[in-house]
Amino acid sequence: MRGFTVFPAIDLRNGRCVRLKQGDFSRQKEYDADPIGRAQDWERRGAHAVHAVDLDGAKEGRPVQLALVRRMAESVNIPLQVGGGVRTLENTRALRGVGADRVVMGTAAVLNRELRLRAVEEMGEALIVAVDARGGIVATHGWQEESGRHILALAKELAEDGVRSVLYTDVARDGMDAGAALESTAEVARLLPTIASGGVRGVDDILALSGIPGVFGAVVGTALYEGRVTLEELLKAASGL
Amino acid sequence: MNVAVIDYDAGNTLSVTRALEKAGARVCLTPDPELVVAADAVVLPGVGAFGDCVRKLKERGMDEACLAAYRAGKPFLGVCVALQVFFEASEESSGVEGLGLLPGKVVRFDVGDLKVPHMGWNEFEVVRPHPVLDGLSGEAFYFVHSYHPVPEEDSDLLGETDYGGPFCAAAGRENLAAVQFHPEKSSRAGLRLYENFLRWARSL
Repeated sequence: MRGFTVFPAIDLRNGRCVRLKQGDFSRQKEYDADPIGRAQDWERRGAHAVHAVDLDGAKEGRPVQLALVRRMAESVNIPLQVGGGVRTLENTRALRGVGADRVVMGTAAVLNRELRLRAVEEMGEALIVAVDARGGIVATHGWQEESGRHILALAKELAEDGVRSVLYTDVARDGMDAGAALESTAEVARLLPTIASGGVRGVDDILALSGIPGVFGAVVGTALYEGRVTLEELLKAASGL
Repeated sequence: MNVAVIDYDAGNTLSVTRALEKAGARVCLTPDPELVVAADAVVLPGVGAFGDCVRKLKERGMDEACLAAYRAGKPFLGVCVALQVFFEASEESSGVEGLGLLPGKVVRFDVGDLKVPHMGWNEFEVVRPHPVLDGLSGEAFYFVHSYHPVPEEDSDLLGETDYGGPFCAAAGRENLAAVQFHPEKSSRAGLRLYENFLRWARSL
C-alpha cells in the first residue's frame, strides 16, 4: 500500500489557476492560467491525485465553477478532490455529478451537525471535512471568521459522527512558505485520518508529515508554483525512497 | 470497434467513457439494453454497493443484456463493483443474487487494524496471464472498496493485491474480465489496461 499522497493544489478563480496568501482575496498571485493544462501536467509528472479549490465558490458559499471542474475531471485520469463553497448536500451531488471523486465540505459541516451526519451517510469516504484553524481555533466562512471553538473538540466530534477523513489547514501558514504545522496536525491526526494543508515548503515537510501516524497526505500549492521544490522531489520523499 | 458503456446511474461512467476514448475506442454510453447487445464490446462500470448495483441493472433490463452479451462471446470488461456483481452473492447485500457469471461469493475485508474501505493506490500482481492485464504486474492502481470476491474456481482468479493479505483484484473467464480497482483513475497504467482491453477485443 502506498501510504502517503501528495496532492498538488489547483486554486480556481474566475476560470484561472491562482494562489492566495492566507486565504485573503486581495493578496492573489496568478500562475499559468489554464487549470486543465495544469492538472494534466501534474498527472503526467506522477501525481496520484489532484486537489482543486473553487475560490469563487468559497466566497459565494456555493460551487460556481462546475463546468470547469467537469472539464478537469474529464481531462485527467487520476482522482480529483474538490472544495470551495460546499454548503449543502445538493452542492456535493453537483460536484460529484461533474466528476469530483471526493468533495471537501468546510464551514457547513463544521457548524451543522445534522447536515454533517447526512453527508457522512450519503457519501462515506467521498466526504472530506475541512478543519481550518488559526491559532488552534476553528476558522469558518472562507477563513474570514473565527468560530471560537478549539480544533480538537471539533475533530473529536467529527470522528464520533463517522467522518472518514479531514483536511486540516493552518490558515496562518497557507501560502506563506512558513513550514507545515506539525504539532497541531499530529494532534488532529490522532483523532481521525488527516490530510495536511498549509505551509508545506518542501521535502523536509513531506518527510515529517508522512512520519506522523494518521496523516495520509498533504496538499501542496505555493511551494510548487513558486518553483521552490518539484513535484517529483515531493513524490520521492512521500514514497520513502 | 464500437464499445458500449452501460449507463445505469453508476457514477463513474463519465470517466470510464473518457478513458476508453483516450485508448482509441468509439464509445456509446447507453441506458438501452438493445444497444449493449448490439455493440462489439461491452464495459460495465461501477461505484457503490452490490445490492444497489444489481437493482439498478435489473430495473433497466441490463442484467439480461449483460448475460446475453457474455453468452454471445462479446469482449466484456467490468470495473470496481462490476467485478463483484459478476459473482453469485455478496455479504454486503444478503438475499440479492449477482449475475452469477463466475462461481463464488463477495466478502467483507477482514484485515484487523487496517482501515476499511481499502482506499488509495496499491500494487497489483498478475496471477494468471491475461491479455487485458498485459504488462501490468507490479503497477499501482487506485482502489476504493470494502468488499472483495473469493472465486470458487482457481482458474477464474487473474490478479491479486495485498491488503492485510492477498485478495482477488481481477477475475474472469472466456470473454469476460473484470478488475476491482479503477483504471480510469489510475493514470498511465489504467489507460494501458483499457488499451489492452481494446486490443484483446479486436482479437476475439
